[in-house]
Amino acid sequence: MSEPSHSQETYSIEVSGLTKAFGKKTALDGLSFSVPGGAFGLLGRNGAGKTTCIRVIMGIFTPDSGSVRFSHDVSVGYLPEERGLYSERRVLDQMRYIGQLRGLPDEVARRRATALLEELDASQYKMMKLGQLSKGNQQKIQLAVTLLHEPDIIILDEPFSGLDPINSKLLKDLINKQARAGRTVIFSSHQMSQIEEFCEEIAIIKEGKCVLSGNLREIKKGYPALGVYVETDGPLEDAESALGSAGLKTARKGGGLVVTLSEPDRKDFVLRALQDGGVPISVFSVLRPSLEDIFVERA
Amino acid sequence: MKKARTSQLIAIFKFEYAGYLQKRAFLMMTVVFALLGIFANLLAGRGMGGGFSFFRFAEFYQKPVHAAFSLGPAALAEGAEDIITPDYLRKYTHGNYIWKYVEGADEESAENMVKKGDYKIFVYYDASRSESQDEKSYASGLRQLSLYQDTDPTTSASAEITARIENAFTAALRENYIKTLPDSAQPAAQRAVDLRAGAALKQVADTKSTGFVLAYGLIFLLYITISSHSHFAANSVIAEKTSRAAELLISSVNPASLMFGKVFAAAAAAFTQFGIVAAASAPVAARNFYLLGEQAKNAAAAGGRQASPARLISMEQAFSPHLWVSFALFFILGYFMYAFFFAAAASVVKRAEDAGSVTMLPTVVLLFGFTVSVFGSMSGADSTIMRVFTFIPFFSPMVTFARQCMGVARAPEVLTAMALDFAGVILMGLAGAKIYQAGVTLQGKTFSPKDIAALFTKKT
Repeated sequence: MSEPSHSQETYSIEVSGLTKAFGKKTALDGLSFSVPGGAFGLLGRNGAGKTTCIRVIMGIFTPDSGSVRFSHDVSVGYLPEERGLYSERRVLDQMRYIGQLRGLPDEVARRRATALLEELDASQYKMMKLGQLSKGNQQKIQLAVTLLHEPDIIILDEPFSGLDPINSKLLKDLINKQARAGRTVIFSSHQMSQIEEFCEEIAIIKEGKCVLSGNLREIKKGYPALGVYVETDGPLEDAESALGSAGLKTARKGGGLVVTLSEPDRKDFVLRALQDGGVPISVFSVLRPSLEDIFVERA
Repeated sequence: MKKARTSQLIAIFKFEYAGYLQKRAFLMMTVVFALLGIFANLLAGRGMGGGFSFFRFAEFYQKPVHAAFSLGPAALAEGAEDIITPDYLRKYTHGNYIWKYVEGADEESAENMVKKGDYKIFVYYDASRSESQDEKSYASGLRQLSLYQDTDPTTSASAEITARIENAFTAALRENYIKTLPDSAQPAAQRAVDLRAGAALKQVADTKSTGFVLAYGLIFLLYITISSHSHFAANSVIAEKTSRAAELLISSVNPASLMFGKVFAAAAAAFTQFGIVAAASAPVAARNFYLLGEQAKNAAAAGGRQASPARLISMEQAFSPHLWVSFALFFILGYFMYAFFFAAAASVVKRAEDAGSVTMLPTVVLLFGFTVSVFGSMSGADSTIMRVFTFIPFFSPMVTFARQCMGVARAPEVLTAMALDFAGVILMGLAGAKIYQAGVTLQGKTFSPKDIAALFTKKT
């Protein structure tokens, strides 16, 4: 894959006031958020409106109101949630076909398809019918199809569903590579760990509205600390004793202790208790809520 | 933008078309059709010593036509029996007609004989004395024949045989009259005499006419080909939908391009199939035509006394180029109309198993058009309902073609019907694309008629 044509330029998207109803059901209800570039996570429960939002961004649905603005005249690669290709056709044939539909000359489509299949360790399947491949390998082919025309923006709807850990890693590497190359990658997922791993920016959608959006680190900072994690160079029992004497609850986790804070801002009190007890501290970190905690609370 | 769309359309067409050629079911269907084509031609050749694939027509045409005539007192007084003989009439109407002179038959008995089925045609001629003499004392005017027949007088087949009989009697009248003139006056009279015989057509039975047989056969062919090949497009959409490739495609391509590309590819596959079937049948068909020509030559050499399978009236109608051009055009228009209809219907399918139920609507509409065209032709090809259906695109290809075969559709009607069909195809294509776009993204959701109506009343 080559670098994007606008070298290291960021491709942003502005979603403003999208509404979309299907009969009496409102799927999007004034949805607004910004995708500044890089890797962006779109979160929400089932039926929250993620796929409808993506379909509006892709121009598959016309919104009842609102708009989607791209910062540039961009090309978009899309891996739909309801994905599939032609099971009775050969892999390379259909990759060439999709490439041509996206404006590539046949020869270029063939060359890029071959290169992508090699990168995804799937070149041995190119002359096989898609239906002959395992589900995971079919997913790889679909991802290759998404990237075939070297899009500026890549939208992946639930990209990890159905992938085994090895293929998940392959996909993660590829997504990272795309993001590093300056492409904007938007993906929706139920797996918070993956979103946390990739995304700097997120938006959480609930009942067609955006209930939370922004930089993930900033969002987490805005949440009060739930506890403190402590490791010591001395015996763990000394630390337990010191903290217990100060009236703090502790639990062992890994090689250290998790101290529960009854009030969010009492981390200084924990530090003082340890110092007063003469416990040599090697690790002291504030525990913020995970993305999953935030998701459960907000979505 | 336009260039990009054209490139996409070409890419879709090529991909879909290649898909048909790689499909085992399609290839097997082509082989079966080709074998059927060869078989039909072999049967035709065996049954009639030549002819074309529709051996049922051939069988019909092969039968000799029994015709009779009788001369009334006035005609006999003029000496018409000297010229108007069975052999004389056979030469004019060609060898397939076996003429018999029935002495003393009047108009009533002529009608009864046709009703009973003794004869297909009975001509009663009793020369009227109404003609005038011009200034050079040559006779002119129209003499009436009564022509009883058991075929539909509105068909072109009937018009053709009527004209031939009129020509035969006109020539006889002239010859008979000129013979009565002095030798010196005869050359001038050849140019000046304007005696004509005109037939009053009297249909006396409702049996099948050659026009109907031809119409029925070709309409059936039209129905079968449209019905079988329109499903190609529907199957393509269903396969795409069940494989879930559709959403990926419509995010890259305008749905109208996708729909049109699919339908064009299905049409190309259908024509490829027809071409292969025609090529496979061609050697046997060529042999049949050769035999047919030989028989016609033999019949001519025998003074038209032998019954020939090449009964002129039927063969002329069967091989009339304008009829076959119409057949091809109505097939193309009908095919595209129903292919879009089937494809649109298929795009609202939830699961592959539901394909039969959603394609029921276009199937019923097509069947209704077929039924109207066949039964309408039987009860009156020029009836009000047939004329109205001529201008309704879904039914027009079969109904208009049926009326054309029966010889009642006038050229402006046919051209108007074709223009309306063409407009209908475009509208159906655009409507189909809209339904397709909405339908393919709604996996698992029931797509009701109300939803379809909403597509055309508000933005999607």
